[in-house]
Formats: sequence, C-alpha cells, structure tokens
Amino acid sequence: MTLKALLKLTTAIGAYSLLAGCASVYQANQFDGFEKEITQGDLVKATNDAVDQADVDTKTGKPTDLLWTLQAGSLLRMEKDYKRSTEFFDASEDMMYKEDTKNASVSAASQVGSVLVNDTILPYKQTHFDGIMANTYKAMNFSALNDINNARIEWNRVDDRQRRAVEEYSKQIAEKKEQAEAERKKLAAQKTSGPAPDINASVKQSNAILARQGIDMNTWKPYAGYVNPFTTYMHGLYFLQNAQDRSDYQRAYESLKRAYALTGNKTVKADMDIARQVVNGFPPKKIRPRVWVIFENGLSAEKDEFRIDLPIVLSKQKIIYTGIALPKLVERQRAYQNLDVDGVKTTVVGDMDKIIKAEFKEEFTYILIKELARATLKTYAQQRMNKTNPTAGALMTAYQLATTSADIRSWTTLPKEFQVARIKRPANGSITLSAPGMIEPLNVEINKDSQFNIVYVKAVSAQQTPSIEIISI
Amino acid sequence: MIKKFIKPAVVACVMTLMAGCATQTTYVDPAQDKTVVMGLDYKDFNSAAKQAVTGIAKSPLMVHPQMAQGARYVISVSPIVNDTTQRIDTDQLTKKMRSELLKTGRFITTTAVTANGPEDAMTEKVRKLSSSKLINQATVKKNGTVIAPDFNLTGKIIQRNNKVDRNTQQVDYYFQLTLTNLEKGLAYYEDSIQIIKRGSNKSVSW
Repeated sequence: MTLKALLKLTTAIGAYSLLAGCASVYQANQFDGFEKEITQGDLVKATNDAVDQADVDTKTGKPTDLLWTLQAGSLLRMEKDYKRSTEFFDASEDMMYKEDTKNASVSAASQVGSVLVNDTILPYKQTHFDGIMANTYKAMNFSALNDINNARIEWNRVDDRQRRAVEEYSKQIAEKKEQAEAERKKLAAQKTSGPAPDINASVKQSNAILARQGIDMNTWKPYAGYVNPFTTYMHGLYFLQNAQDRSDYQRAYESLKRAYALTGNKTVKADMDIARQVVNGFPPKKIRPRVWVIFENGLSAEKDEFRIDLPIVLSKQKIIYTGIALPKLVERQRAYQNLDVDGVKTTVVGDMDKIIKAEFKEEFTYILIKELARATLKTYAQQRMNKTNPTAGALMTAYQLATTSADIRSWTTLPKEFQVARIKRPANGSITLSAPGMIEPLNVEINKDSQFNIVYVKAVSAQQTPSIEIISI
Repeated sequence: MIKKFIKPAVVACVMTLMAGCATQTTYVDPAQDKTVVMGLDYKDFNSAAKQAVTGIAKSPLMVHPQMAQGARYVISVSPIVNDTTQRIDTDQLTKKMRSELLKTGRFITTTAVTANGPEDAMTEKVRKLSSSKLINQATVKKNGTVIAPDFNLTGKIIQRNNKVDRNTQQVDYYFQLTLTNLEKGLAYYEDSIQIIKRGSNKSVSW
C-alpha cells in the first residue's frame, strides 16, 4: 500500500469512526439528560429540549426529526398545549409516511452506509406502536378541545393502523428474513477464495450464548393480533360517549368486547355491558352519569446497549469471538402501584411494556444477524489488512472499536402501563385521587352537569405531582 | 474500500439534483383531470353529489303534486358526518349538492334551517332590525314569511380499507345519504354511493 493510499484510508476510517462515535455518544447523552429532566419533574425543560431535538425547519415551521417529534408531541400534551402537540403528531405522521414510501435506492444507500458503520446513522424508523400511540394521543388532544369530529378521524386512523399492524408484522418478518439472507449472500461474496463465513452458524451459537446471559425473549408474548388494548378500549369509550347513531354504539360494543377479551378487565366489561344494552335499545340518555379515571403509570421499557463477545464463524475451522453491541430492553418503574379513586382502585387496561417487548422481539433476530454480518465484514477487513499492512490493520481495529454501537433510540416518554377505574358521578362534583407513596391526595373538580367525565392522569414518578386533564361530555 | 463510499455519494448527488428540479405550478382543467389520489378530492365530491341528485330527481316520490303550477319542494341540508380517516370539509359535498338540487329546477334549498343551526344566520338577524331607528321599517322583513322545509337531507361518509395483495390496498368510500319527509318522518330517498380506489399498500391511505 502506498503512502497516499494509506493516507486516504486513514482519513476515511477516521471520518467514519468520528461520525459513528459521535452519533453513538451523542445518542446516549441525549437520552440520559432527557430522562433526568422528566423524572425530576422539569417538564418545561424536557419539552424545550425535545422541541429543540425535533429540529424545526425555519422555512416550513415543521419538525424534521421523527423520534424527537414524537417525544415533543407527548410532552406538549402533558403541558396541555394540545394544539401544538397535535401539530407535532401531524408532522410525525408525515415523516412516517415518507419513511414508509421512501425510494428503494435511497433506502439501499443508507443501508450500505449503516453496514459499514452502525444503525445509529440511519434515520429513525417508527415502530407500529409509535404510529398507533401518535393517533391515540391526537384523538385525546381533540377530545380535550371538545373537537369530537376530528377526534373521530383519529380513532378511525387508529383502527386502520391496528389493522395494518397485523398484516405488516407478517410481511416484515418475511422481509427481514429476506434481508438477512441478502446480508448472508453479501458476506459470502466478500470471500474471494475458500469457504464463506457461516452467518447461520454464528446466529445459532450466539442465540445460545445470549440465552445463557439472560437475554431470553421466549416468554415475551404479544397481545393477540398485536393489538394495543388501551387504544382499543379508548376507541370504544369514545364511540360510547360520542355516538351519533346506532352504528357508533355497535362500534363501541365491538371495541370494548375486544379490549375485554384481551385484558379481562372488569371496568372494561362493565362498559361493554352498557354498550350492549344501548345496542339492544336502552336509551343512551338514561345511562347513569359516570366518571372514568384513566391513569398513565410510570415510564415504558427503554433500550440500552450491551456489549458481548459473540462467535463469528469464519469457517468450520475458524471461529473468532468478537465484541458486538446489541440493544436490550430495560424496564422502568411504575409511579404508583395503582390509584385510589374515592375507594375504587385503578386496574391495568394496557401493558405498554408488553407491546414494546413483542415488537422488539420480532426485530431482535434481524438486528442480531445484521450485527454479526457487520462484525464479520469488519473482522475480515481487519485480518486482510493485518496480513498486508499491519498499520492499516491496526487502524481497522480502532475503526471497529469506534463504530461498534447499538441503536437505542425509542419513544421514551410513553408510560409503562395504562390503568382505568370508573365511579358514579359524585353529587358534589369532586373526586379524590390517592396512592401509597403519593405526596398528598389530589382533589379533582369535574363537571357535575356532564353525563360523562374522563379524568386523565399521567404520573411519571412518585416524586412528581401527576398531570391531570378533564374531558367532560 | 473507497469504491464502497462512492456509491452512496453518487446516490446522494442524484437525489440532490432531483430535489433541485422542483415541480412547476400549473392550472388543472377539472374536466381533463385524471390524477387520482387515495383520499377524497373535488372530483369525488362532484361525482357523489351528481349521482345523489340524479337519484333524488328520478324518484317518483320526489315529484311535487303541484309541480305543473310551479310548486317546489323545500329541502334543508344538514351537515354530513365525516367518518373517514381524512380531515376533509364535508361542506364540499353539501354545497355541491345544494347547487345541483337548485339546478334541477324542481327543488329549493333553505339556508334558514338545518339540524345544526342556520346555514345563513341573516334570515333571523334582519328581523331584529325592527327596533333600529337607522333602518326604514317598511323594508324590514316581516316574521311569519320564512318557508319551513319539506325534506331534510342527512348523511355520512364512511371508509373501509382492505389489503388486496402485498403491494396493493383498496379504499372503499360510502356516501350514505337519506332524505326524510319531515311531515311523515319517512325516508323518501336513500342511497349509498360507492367510490372505490386502489393504490400502494406501502403506507397508510391518508
């Protein structure tokens, strides 16, 4: 290798290492600082940070970073800035659409780059539950503003996203397999002589090691049909409370029935029974006035990076253990076990962690294959260079170290779970929320003339006063 | 190795060049417009309104007994419920229907009464001028002259999405319309006009 070629290689490696290293470190710092702000109750700062990270285009006024747009949308909602929250979620939907319909050649070019570096340099690709929750929150935003017509549109979108999720899961699993096969072929093509590296053997051996390390996802099961039961429940509740005709009550009943089948929650069953009675002719105006308390509890599982030595099967005779960075899910705390609403306890109507785990589990096999392929490529390059030029080999080792990093991006402001309780509307229009560990009970004034009231509570941690919104119908 | 870096760079350059060629703004002749979108656009509203009014006009139940003497049925048009996934203004449909109903020469629509309040609040407001010193009282419209509607038109646009195959989805829109005889409380006209579209299944249809 000439000095000029070595210089070029050094520059390229340096630039890529810097890019990857910066992206990974930046990513870790971003999430750490942001989480501290949320858990310590500095919501204003957290919101401003999220809005900054969402990278609003000064010409269009629209955010451009999908993940941080979602984070900002949910925080703006917590701060009751519903209009702006919806604007952010609207922009997030536009970005999701662009990501879904991205030109294949652009996507392929990004993938080429990411194989050489790591996934942190790729744009954030939304999960199914991201889309479903964005529309759920938008529907709630519109309801909070008494705009039931636009809320209906968002619930219809939720319906369609849930339908698509089932189809997409099976499609994506097939696509991921195809992509994994393509990675394997690409890898085989790297070897000019002798047997190709056996990625399947690498994956098989790695899975056994990961299971021994406690990374076992076999017990993670999705809700049937990959449905988010909280969203389905709220969909049913919306149509029960805002029905314009008989078919709306039928829709309410179908959604509540489905949510009950998924969760076995007694409050959901009681709501389902009301919907059934109305479908069978009970006059809606005679439904007794009630108050629903919806409780967003704690923070959802987030991704963290872990590094592990996994086998790269270069040939039957040659197996090298190399450091690989993978994402793992780390559960976070509930704020409270549950809320007490004038003597009635809230119970779980949707486990967000379960939903996140199910999607992560489907994704993980592909991430593992991709990481092993990436490590194999880099190990190969390093070995080849070592033979011909030890300096270049050493540089390649440094490059491999610097670029080994897992993609740990996820929507971290989602709750760990959703709970619900329902009580009769109190005559004095006041309800009290309490919980073991809550600094002091909260008195909430509802509209005592409304047939239905929803008290929406979000508590990130026990150290903070929960945020509360009231929707009166 | 450098070769591998060149590929994404070339793709990036091509993309930049393409981005530079922005689409020019042009006029569209609605009669010649063949562009189809997955959502609902003006062509769909025009088509649904025309189909509905043709159906109403054809119905023997909608012939006024004194039509030969110039009598016309008065129809109120209530807001149409948007039960789709798109933020559309259903007034696009109701306005078109009002205009098509008037064009038949057999129906008149009222702007003074609809289920959600008047289309035009002035019919009521001008009567409040009877206490104004500014206004010539002889020109103030009298009470008891506004015509009550004979029929009311209500409706809903619903949407159903389905996968056709891996790459194609189908979106069915149903314009469900009902014309109620307000004296008898009976539906004199009902229809469900379908607009079906097929397109890419890569993403959502809105």
